[in-house]
Amino acid sequence: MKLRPASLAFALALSAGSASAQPAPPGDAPAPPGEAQPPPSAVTPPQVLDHVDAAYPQSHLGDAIETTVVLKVTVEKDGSVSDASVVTSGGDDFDESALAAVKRWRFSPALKEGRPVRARIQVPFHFAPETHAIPPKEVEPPKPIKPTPNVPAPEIKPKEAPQELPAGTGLPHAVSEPGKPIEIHVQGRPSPPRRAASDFRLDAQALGAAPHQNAADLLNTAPGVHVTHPEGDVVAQRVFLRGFDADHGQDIEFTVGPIPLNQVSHLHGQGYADLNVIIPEVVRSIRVLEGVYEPSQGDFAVAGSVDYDLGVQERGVRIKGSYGSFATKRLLALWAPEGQAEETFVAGQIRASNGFGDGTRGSISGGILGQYKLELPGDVTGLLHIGVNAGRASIAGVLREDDIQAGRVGFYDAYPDPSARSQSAAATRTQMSLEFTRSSDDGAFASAAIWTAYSTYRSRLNFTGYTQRSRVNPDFAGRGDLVEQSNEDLGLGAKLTYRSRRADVLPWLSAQLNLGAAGRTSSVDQAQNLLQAPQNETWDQRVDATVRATTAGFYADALVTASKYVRLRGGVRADVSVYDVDDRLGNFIPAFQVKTHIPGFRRTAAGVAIGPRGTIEVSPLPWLKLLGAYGEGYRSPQARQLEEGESAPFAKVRSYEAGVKLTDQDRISVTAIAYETRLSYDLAFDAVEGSLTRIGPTTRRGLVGYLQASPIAGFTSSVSATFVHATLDSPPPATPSNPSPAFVAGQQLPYVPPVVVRGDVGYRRAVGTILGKPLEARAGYGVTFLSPRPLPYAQQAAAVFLADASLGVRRDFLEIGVDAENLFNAQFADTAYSFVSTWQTSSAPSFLPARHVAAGAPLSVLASVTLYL
Amino acid sequence: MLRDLHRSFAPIALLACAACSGTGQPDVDYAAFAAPATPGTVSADHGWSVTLDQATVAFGPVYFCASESGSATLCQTAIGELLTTTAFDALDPAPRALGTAHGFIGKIQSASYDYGIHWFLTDDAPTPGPAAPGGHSAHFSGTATKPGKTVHFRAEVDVVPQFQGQRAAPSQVATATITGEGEKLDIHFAVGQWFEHVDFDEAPAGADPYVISAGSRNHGAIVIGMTAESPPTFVWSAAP
Repeated sequence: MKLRPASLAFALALSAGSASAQPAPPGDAPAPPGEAQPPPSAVTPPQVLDHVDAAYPQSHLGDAIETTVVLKVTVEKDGSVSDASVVTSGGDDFDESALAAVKRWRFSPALKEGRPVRARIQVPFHFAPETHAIPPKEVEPPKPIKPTPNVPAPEIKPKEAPQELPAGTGLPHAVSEPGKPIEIHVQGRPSPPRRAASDFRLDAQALGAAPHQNAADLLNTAPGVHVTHPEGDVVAQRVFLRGFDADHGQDIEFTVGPIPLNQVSHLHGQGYADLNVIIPEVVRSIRVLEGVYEPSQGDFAVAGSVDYDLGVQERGVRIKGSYGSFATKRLLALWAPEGQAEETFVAGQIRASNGFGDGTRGSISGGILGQYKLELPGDVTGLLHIGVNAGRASIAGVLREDDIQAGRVGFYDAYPDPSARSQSAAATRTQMSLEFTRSSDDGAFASAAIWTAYSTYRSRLNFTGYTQRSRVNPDFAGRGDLVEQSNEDLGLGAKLTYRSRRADVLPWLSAQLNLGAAGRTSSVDQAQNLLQAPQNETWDQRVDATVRATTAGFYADALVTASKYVRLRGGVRADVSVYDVDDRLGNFIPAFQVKTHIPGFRRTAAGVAIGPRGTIEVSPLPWLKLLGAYGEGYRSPQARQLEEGESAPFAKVRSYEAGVKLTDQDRISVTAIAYETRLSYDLAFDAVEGSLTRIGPTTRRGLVGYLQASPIAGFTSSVSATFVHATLDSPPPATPSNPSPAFVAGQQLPYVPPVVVRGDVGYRRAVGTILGKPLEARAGYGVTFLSPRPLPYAQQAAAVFLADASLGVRRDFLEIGVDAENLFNAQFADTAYSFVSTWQTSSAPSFLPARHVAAGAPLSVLASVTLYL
Repeated sequence: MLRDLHRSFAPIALLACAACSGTGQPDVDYAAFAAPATPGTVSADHGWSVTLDQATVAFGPVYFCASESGSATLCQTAIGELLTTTAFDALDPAPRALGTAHGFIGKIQSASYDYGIHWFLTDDAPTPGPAAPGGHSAHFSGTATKPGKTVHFRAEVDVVPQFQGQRAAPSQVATATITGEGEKLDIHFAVGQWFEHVDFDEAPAGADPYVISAGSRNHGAIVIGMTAESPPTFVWSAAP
């Protein structure tokens, strides 16, 4: 569950709500020649009709900067804003945010003697992040501006002189008393307080520096994160985070607003989270909290949590068509209505590709994603979210490395085998949420949200070739291990949060209390069979079950500010989960046994997880922050693995970290972190079942360095390096094949890269004009380095170095761009595995675990044309 | 250029590996040899003495398992294997190279193997490998004698897996701890003992040679000798 504090910026207004203008003081700028100035008292100031929020700059989220920007705005006769300039700067980023917002405001025009006239007014914006953690300063409302009707707009040659007015504007819910300033509340974007040094906020500028083809790949920008797609375009991504192999989401809590994306007890992987439902162009920012330090973090927040914030800053209609390598085609349509909040938009996309290799990676997918934000009386806002995504893809599968080296199969190809070439996946997700929020000036905040999601998944994957024998009929053997998995999930849930007003206990001590609750219930139908290609004849049944899972959790979270130097945040969270499993193949009767009962094993189980989380932040100097954090989180179990009445064994994680962050005038920041996480039991991929199975407890210790720099306007850069030593803390579970697995203390966890280095650089600037319109160019570059990854049996996967680049130019409504991924065409393993397989490529089958790889994409170029209408 | 980039990251990779302690059980290769015992003359049932003139045996593949049972059902993951199938003269006591065994360090407790005829999961029926002499697991000829009787015999023996996906000898004790410090594997065959329970009294009068055909009781006695009563023994030792 995510805390969604209410407003982070509010504009205080405008002076003297009086409808009458004041006389121009002597000495003000002279009127243009020939312009007679009307008596100010005859001018009716503009009134706000539509407004959009001023967004708190993402680059300063969590920095606790509180500042005010005062703009001078020219309102045209038609009520539009033709010019805005900064009178009082609050810093470059804040100025830009205020300017961007006010330019989309629409007013009723100023009236002089009943006729519209141009007018100039002042609009102050006050930016205050973490309003619950920082006592609001008494912002002195700007003094009424005496009208200077004889001052022309400075940059635009006026058709007629605008009227200088005392900013008598107000939003629909502004409070105005005669003779007093009007106070305007701007509903801003949520800015949860920083919970650790590794609480990273990635804004659109950082995310857009290097090319990213989908919402999952955006996460590569975050320190310590690496995203792969070993099972094609439709199956959910595989994510590595700070030493965790989170597979399809088992260790990371993914959310979009109030909607959890992780699916409980998903057959293909616990916590499966399909990020394809998110269209990357509408991602405004991403919060990546690495670790478990916030009480609102719920199920699957083991390595951390990722929250996608959706919004479209540039309003209007956008049509984007792309074409590139492997006949990849993508069409995006995006409509962000003018005058609406950034959260209001609707987008749709269709994508088709033949995929790389020998024709076994083709895919078709598409979806829509839309939100509507509405202002309601009483400082209440509502946000309706709807997302639908569907796709189908062929899958090339994995290859034995010895077969590649022997030339028996090409690196980018699939085995010339009907079972290998029948691999595919289709997935859909439909989700909807409705969230209401209300915030008050005293810092109080409340929100209520309901959501529902319906997901389907069906895959046919063959990792192991020909190793299986039917349980139902043992005479069926060697027909190909084409594992069909289906998972249908209907989920419902709700979230409630309440934050108290700020209590000033002492002059130097204030506190707030957050209370939150979240509940979800899921009904999951799942089945797993073995199919014989190419007719998909079923030759074994492995799973046929219905799982009903309900989880209810609540937390309390205190936010204490002790002087301007110290902040304490923390609380406790408790969750209870109840599972009802109808395992229709349970108590299976083997073919050679006498039937003594009817197969089936219905069972129920329940469990409770409780864990504290806390953070201390010390800021001894304005440019220095020291943070320490501790937290305990959990992952719910795969329900089918529970026995009757078993106390549901949540995987418990304990996270510790200490970090330091240095900032230099908001242009450069350096973060260094040392952390440790301990997990009570981990999960690892089992190729035979095509899903996750338990391994023992694990520990990760690591160091993170993160540098962000934006030394000049339009330039953004970030470099991160994450080093982790991930170990298995006890022998792996015994298996029939290996009753006493070898184990040495400090044995490395396989698959996770010990070192992940990521760099992103982006630059955007005007390079000239064409036919009177400015020409803007952009360039981006991203690099990823993964050190050699340990594999089981003391093997290592090769290091990976990847570079992506992006170029584009835009003039007015037209933008042309080209994205290149894997710029140096490196041949690399997207994912490496080690398990037993038999693909009939040798005279005798091998039963030794062998290295397998899923090929990463070669150089891929995508050209695009975008129309902004 | 890419090489330069990789070189620039080399220190980081080294740093990463400095903390590596491995994921356990490194792989290991070692040579495997057939070590037939000189059969001489073997005493068989009912007073017969058997002397072999010729013994060609196909052997392999062999799988070693960490569990006590090497059956395909219980040992889906091996800890070592010798995938080659080799035919050798089982009367020649000189060690014969069978190929290179691959595997991992660790404890071995069982073995399963074929004698040149396999029935892998992907086979519709038992199939002789190319090394199988004449398409059989073994070819023997020799003389059985007892006072007043002499029988020249010939046997084409097929040691066939009983089930699809199983080995002909599905599970046999074979104990060793592989350390990866220069092992070699000797597989000892006591060929003469395979004839201990052949009843040459069953040889038809006048049959010369007496052909022990598949399906006969004596054929079964040889198969049992090869797979159960006098199976090969696996001895790992330090390589010279």
